[in-house]
Amino acid sequence: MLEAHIIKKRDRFTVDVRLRCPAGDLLVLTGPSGSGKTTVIRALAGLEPPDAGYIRFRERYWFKATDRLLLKARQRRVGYVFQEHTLFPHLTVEKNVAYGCRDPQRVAELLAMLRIRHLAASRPHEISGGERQRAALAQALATRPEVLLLDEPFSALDNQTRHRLRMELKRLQERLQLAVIMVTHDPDEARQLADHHIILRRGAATEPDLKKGRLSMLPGSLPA
Amino acid sequence: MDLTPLFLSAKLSLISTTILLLLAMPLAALLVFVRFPGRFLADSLVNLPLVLPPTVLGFYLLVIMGPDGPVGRAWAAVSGSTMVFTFGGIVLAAMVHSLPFAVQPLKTAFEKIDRRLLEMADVLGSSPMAVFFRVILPNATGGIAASAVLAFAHTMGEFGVILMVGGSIPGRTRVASIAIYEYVEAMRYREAAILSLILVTISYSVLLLVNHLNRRSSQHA
Repeated sequence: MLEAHIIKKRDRFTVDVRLRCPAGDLLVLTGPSGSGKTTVIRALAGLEPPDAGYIRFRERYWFKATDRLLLKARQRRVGYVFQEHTLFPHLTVEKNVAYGCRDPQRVAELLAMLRIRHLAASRPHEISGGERQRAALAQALATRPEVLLLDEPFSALDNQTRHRLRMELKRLQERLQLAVIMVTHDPDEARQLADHHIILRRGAATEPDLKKGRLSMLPGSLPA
Repeated sequence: MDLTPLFLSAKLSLISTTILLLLAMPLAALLVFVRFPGRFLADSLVNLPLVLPPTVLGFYLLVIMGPDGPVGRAWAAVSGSTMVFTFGGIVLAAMVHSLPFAVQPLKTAFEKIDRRLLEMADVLGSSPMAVFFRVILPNATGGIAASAVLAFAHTMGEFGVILMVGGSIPGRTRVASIAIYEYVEAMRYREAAILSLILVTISYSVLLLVNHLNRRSSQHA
């Protein structure tokens, strides 16, 4: 279970979000541009420290403001996929996937699982946007993360590819029992994928959402 | 005609550029990627040789590297010899004078690297040192080449600082630019013209190479 209360001051408002995502579930963060979605996901990854609150995975705190505890990104077990340009341009697809993983068998498995084995020797600029995001997903999964963070991973893709990748993501998430937090602008994507759904407006979750009978998020509903 | 000064210039440029690159790469990375108090002051200090008259820089280096200066004393304690008026002394002086020429292209190349790649490497478990070697350097090859070429060319034409720190000892510190000056003083214009033409050719070739590298690097960006 990933649990967090993230408070981060921004120029015009303060992001103040509580979230909870059990392993094997997918939590979708939606909201207008500049509402704080990326701030939340970057805080979870360890790329931007929150000003207050906590982030806890299972029994281990990744961030706890009261104890001044802050684990670096490389100390958390997360995979992260950006909207685009996630792959290292100087490496082949195979070496990109192997970047954080020294197990060649794991790399081969992921290349097969994401159906990009035939692209192993290609450079990122030589493959399509959909293939790049597949490779990025394989790269993120190679370190055996327990939490997968996706920041609008499919937004730069055409409709058909986006739909296909959504289905693959859902399958992977269920197979690997990962806690997945995903930022998206696309309401269809949210409806199709979300076990839990948080809608952010100016840094606050304004619409608690019930889905599949589970309470995804309510301000103040979690123990601090 | 004695071509020793030209070979000495090439040797000086090669050695000082090699050492300078090894120092300039982490220094440029520090200035671009690490926020620390006084970064602005450090950045300006690196660029100081660009605006200082070479004689002023040479004078200060002479004082620091002289037998009573801190660097000169430390060198004497280690090697038992003086630093000024030696080849080792002019290598150090050339490195100081060429520092901004080596650091600036590297900084430009490092600044062009997408920060998300560095964040991705961090998330994937890389230490800052691993990020430097596995992500930053491989994505700045154009900048590294430009830095090496500029530092090499600048040292090939170096005059004032080397004259101050090294004097003009034939075979040891009498580099091409100093030899040209002395040929002119002795009214030996033919030798001066030949050496000058060789330096102009080298400098122009270097500029062509830098332009080519810059164009290639902007095409790949």
